[in-house]
Amino acid sequence: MRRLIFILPALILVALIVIFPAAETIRWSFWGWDRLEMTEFVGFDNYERLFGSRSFINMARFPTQNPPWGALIHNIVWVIVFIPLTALLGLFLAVLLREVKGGSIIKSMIFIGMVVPLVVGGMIIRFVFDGRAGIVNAALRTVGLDDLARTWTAFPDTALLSLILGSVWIWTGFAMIIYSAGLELISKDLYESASVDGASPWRTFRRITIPMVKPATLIVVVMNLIYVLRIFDIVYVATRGGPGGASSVLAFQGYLFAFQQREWGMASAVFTFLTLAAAIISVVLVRRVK
Amino acid sequence: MKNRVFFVALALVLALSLAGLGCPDPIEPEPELTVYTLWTEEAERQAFNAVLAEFEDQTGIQVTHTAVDTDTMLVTFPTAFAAGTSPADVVLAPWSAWIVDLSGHLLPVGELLDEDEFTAAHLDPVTEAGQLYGAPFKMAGKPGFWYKPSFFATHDLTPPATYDEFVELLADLDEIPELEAPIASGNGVGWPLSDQVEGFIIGLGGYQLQLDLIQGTVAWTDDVVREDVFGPLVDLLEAGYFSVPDEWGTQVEQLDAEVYGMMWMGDWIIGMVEDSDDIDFFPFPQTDGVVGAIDYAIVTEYTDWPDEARELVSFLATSEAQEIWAEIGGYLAPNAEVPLDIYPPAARSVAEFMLTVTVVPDLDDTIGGAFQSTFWDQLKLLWVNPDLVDDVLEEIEEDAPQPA
Repeated sequence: MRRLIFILPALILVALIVIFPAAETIRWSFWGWDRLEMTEFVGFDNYERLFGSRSFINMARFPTQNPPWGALIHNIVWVIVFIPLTALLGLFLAVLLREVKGGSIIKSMIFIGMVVPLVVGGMIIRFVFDGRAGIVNAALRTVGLDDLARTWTAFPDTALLSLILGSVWIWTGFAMIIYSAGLELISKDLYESASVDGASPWRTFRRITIPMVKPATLIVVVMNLIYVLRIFDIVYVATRGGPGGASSVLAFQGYLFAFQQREWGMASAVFTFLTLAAAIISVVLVRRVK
Repeated sequence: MKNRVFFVALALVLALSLAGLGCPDPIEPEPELTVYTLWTEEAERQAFNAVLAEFEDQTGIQVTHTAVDTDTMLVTFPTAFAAGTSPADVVLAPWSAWIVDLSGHLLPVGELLDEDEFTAAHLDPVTEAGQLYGAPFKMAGKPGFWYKPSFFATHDLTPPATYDEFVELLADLDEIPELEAPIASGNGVGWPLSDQVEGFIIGLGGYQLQLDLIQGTVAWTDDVVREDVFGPLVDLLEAGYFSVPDEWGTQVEQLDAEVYGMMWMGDWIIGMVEDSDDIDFFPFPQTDGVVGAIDYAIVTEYTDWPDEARELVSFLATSEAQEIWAEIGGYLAPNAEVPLDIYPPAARSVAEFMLTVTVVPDLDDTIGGAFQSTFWDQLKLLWVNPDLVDDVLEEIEEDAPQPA
């Protein structure tokens, strides 16, 4: 009984600010709306409209033509490109900086991206890929790739990619720190044994380092996945989902439905779908971590 | 020990209760209104504060002015209204469709102004079921392309009188090596490109086409839109005469810095450039109409001070209030009683021009809803991929109003 009393304040808070709004969002997704007023129960109509909408899935363009491919596919592309890139780059940096003198200072500098608020991150991405002043385009011009130098966030074929690459920069610091912690846990004896046995550095990395940092990899994947599913700030600030919906993602599409179009039933359907997807994937992955 | 704590607590409660009983009746709080606007630019904020100061002097009612960005306003008020509250008593907003959508949470303002002082084109878009919900306070004229006369003089350029001359001017500007592009394209939320396209719709298709598109009696895929308006526009886009869209405030600075030759913008640009004497506009050649976008004052149903809020809206709709900002500049008064000679020269030329053509409402502000966000976003796509014009027009048509 006393235990219950201690956790009751937290339970009440969670019920008020998580469970109740989530339950209301699910309920709203089954209702029709007119000018901020709930009108009638419409069953799965909002979901049917959502899945039939090109802004949600646009298979006519995917994958043969440039985006827009629909917010759901953009999120999936984000997962496919972002998570492996972040994990590999994080692991590479963690291994590289492990033995380097002053490595912790360099790690701190890389981790700054993670500390920056995502809204600021979005502004930095827009600036970095700017055609006139961006560092990416300056680098491209320096190496003679002038044809690629332009405002990446303004074009449908590069907007999504620029956001994903920018996010990789922001989140690589997190992956690197997790992997650094994971590397510390690997016994040095293993590396010494491998050395005595004449294993090459690549073989040591493949056969010892990668298997031993598997728990860290799962943490990186789960955290990155949750980040990607709820990604909003960067898209909102850097491209507003455009041009022509070419960089829209689920959370941004929900925002558009809710506040630009005031279609609260559709917005609730998007966020219900997003919540369910995130919950199912997270549960599966967390069980694997266990 | 426990007993001592109990009695101390009891004594405290009794003491506080008695202190409460002994208090005089609570003083009636002084009314203080909160007004939300979109005027985040310093010049606009100061000008509106001058209007509010006059209201405070006349009535003794305190007013706090909060300027927010477009998204904050779009998000804050519908959600607050749904919760039965409002962070402001009075709001000034330019989206008539948004106001009509929220009218169930607003107080009617029809009795607060003299409707004869305004045109029906200003009042009809915010009238719902016979009730007026917005008092016109500010008109943003979007008269044409703005340029620096000194820059034009240096390069021996003259404003065009015909569309052919306009195209020649663009070609001449394109030849100037220090220019990145002849026309700066504003971006951000999305309205700068839509304002420019509306200029082309009215300039090449006539003001009636703008009204037909608002009503939905003409489809975006019709030849009159696709060929007559978007055909020439796409030609100009493909010729590279428009810059890649960038944040509109930055683009105004770039116009000032002579990175671009001209820019389509509303009259508030006058207050944003370094030298307001070195900025002028030319209308779309041979146009018969112009967009006059109105900022309406609305009163929320959830105000604690309904009488005072109505008093403020009533004041804002008068020529007396509107003359205050008109004299400062960067502003056009929707109240017909405001005399032309009160405007500074740059604003007066806009006001005079607007008297020579038909003033029509802003297209996307009037339609609102899904159309507005689709229109804004699809134009961004058109600007960088003009070859997709047919896809763009089909997407816009999907969310466009259908004929009644």
